[in-house]
Amino acid sequence: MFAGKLILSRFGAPTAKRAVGLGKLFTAKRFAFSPLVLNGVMRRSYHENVIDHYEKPRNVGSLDAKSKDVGTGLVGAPACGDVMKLQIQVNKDDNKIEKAVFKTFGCGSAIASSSYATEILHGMHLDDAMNIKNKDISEHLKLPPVKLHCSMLAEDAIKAAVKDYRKKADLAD
Amino acid sequence: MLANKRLLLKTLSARSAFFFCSIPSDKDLPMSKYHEISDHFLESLCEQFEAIDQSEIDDVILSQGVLRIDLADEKSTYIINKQSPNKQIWLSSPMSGPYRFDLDLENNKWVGKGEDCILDLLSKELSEWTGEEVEFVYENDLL
Repeated sequence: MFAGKLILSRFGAPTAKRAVGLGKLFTAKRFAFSPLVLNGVMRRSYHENVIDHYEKPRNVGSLDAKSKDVGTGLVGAPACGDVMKLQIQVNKDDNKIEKAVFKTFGCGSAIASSSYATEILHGMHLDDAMNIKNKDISEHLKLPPVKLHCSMLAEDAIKAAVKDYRKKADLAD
Repeated sequence: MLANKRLLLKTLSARSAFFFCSIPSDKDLPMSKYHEISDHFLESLCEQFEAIDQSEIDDVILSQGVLRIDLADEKSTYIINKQSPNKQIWLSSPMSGPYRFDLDLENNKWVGKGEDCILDLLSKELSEWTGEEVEFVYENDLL
């Protein structure tokens, strides 16, 4: 559906779009070794926490969306450049998240935000999951101003997944 | 046969609604009108930021629908930009994080989820930053 295409911006800053889990993975150039100062001009660079998630994303995958134990959050739009699908598998006895997976099309910050979100969701109670703020994600990943919106999208994805699960659980009762 | 077709259409529109539900703004607003209004808005905002005391603000740059304001502490930056596919204005504040604003045509304002107007937010934060009263206003009918 989404091609695993790497688009490098003309300024050399790593604003690459990449589909994680939605097509062939494209190995990114190692921006970590690019010089931070080039010809006297400071280049922007991703924080190592973001690069870590970009190169080794955690919990990429899919759960059965039809299952009653699974909540699915699908946010964003291709036209905007970011789409995140986040799924949670919930233990109905204690309402704790047993498993969280994601698939994201977007920039490195969007991938890292959703990857980090699935990391912190493991073992969390649904109420605590609803309290996750975009600030928690952006502070951990040290996102620059222009990428704060990626963390907000991840927060939206978490809330959408929890709401979806709760809606299904209410219908089942 | 007809029932199946209805079901198919319902499913398709539901699925596409899933995507479009994240594009909440006024679908009747023509894109050209959105560009006109938002360009005007950013230009007006740029001028108002430039009018603020130079010792508090390092730089104000408006380019290709992105307004960037660097504060004097050399680490805080405001980014206010057009988000055309959504017909929105997006704000990234170093004080309070990211926001998205839709055009409220009835009241001629850009409002966020909690009905908060972008200019109220910016006025409050810049007043705190400079220590003086800063008030941003909507200029002319086009915003």
